[in-house]
Amino acid sequence: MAQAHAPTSTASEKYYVPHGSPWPIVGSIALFTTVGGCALWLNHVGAGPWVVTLGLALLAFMFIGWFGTVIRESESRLYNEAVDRSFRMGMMWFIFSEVMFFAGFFGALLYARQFSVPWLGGEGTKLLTKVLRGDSYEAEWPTNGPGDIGGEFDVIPAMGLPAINTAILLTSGVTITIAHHALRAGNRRMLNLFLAFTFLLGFLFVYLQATEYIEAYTHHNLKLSTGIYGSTFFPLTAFHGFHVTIGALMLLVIWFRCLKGHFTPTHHFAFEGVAWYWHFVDVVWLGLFIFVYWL
Amino acid sequence: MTRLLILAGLLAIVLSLGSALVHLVRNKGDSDKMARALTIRIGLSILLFVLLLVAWRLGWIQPHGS
Repeated sequence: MAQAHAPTSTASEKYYVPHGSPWPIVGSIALFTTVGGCALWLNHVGAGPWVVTLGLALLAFMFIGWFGTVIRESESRLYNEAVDRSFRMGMMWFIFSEVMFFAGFFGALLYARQFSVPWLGGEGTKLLTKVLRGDSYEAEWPTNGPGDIGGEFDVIPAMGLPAINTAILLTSGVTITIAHHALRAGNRRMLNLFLAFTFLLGFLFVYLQATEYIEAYTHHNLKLSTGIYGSTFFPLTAFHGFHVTIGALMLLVIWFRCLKGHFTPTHHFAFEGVAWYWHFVDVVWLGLFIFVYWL
Repeated sequence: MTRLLILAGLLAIVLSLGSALVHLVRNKGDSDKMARALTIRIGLSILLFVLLLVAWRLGWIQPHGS
């Protein structure tokens, strides 16, 4: 979340390296506490959930503190062009990991639908699988698989909340684009207004998705435990919802920075990074909407 | 045909998003081209959503469970 400014005459000479920063060790302790807490929790130790909560709180403290430090360093003009390149490279690797993350989940959905479910129905060369299992399962999608795991269920209708949520995210894509052009044109009022619209629409999306989950559990008998459909539907949509939450929080931070007068029409890498990320979660949702609800 | 059109639209959206990322991470970045690519990205996404709604309305495509 830093913004690299044009180098000053003194700062451009060398790469800025902070000395005595406490944040790496705080982050390490936070991660160790979180993962250790998970291990305790999985082993049914009563303190597990509390240790996880402490670890996550430490992690949040680390992020706020570390990003705050980076913002102050950036605003103090400590960064030169080499640091700017580092931020851009960091963004590229972060996005690469994000793409791989979602590729795994989309890949699981594709494999289940195109391969494993048809095989269980006896398609292709897997007829023997069906014969040996000796049931009458016919491949279809959506399905909870042979054995009717989780019982009868209905899918969430695409033209209900999912379509509304798609419209909301696409609208937020328009508002962030208007904010982006406003920043480049030096129109701060439009920037602040449309950036606010964007994160508000993001939080509205998350709220409506939570409503959809409640609907799924209470009225459709669609749960995480509903066979292959439930166990691909919820991780895909929930991890996406988590990314929308993180993206909306990042937009909120950028909005506060905009209100404080940070960024210029020519130097605003932090804004660009977060704006691109928002477009990314928007596109992932479009893919989800199409592959999970339609095709 | 409708499915192919939808998939082609999605591919075009991913390409415009990817193009914006290239302009973002390139040395010093290229703010103009990045903003343009993202504007194309959102324009194509809205078109795709409208196409989906029209195709559904005309009965060319049906969502799961309907």
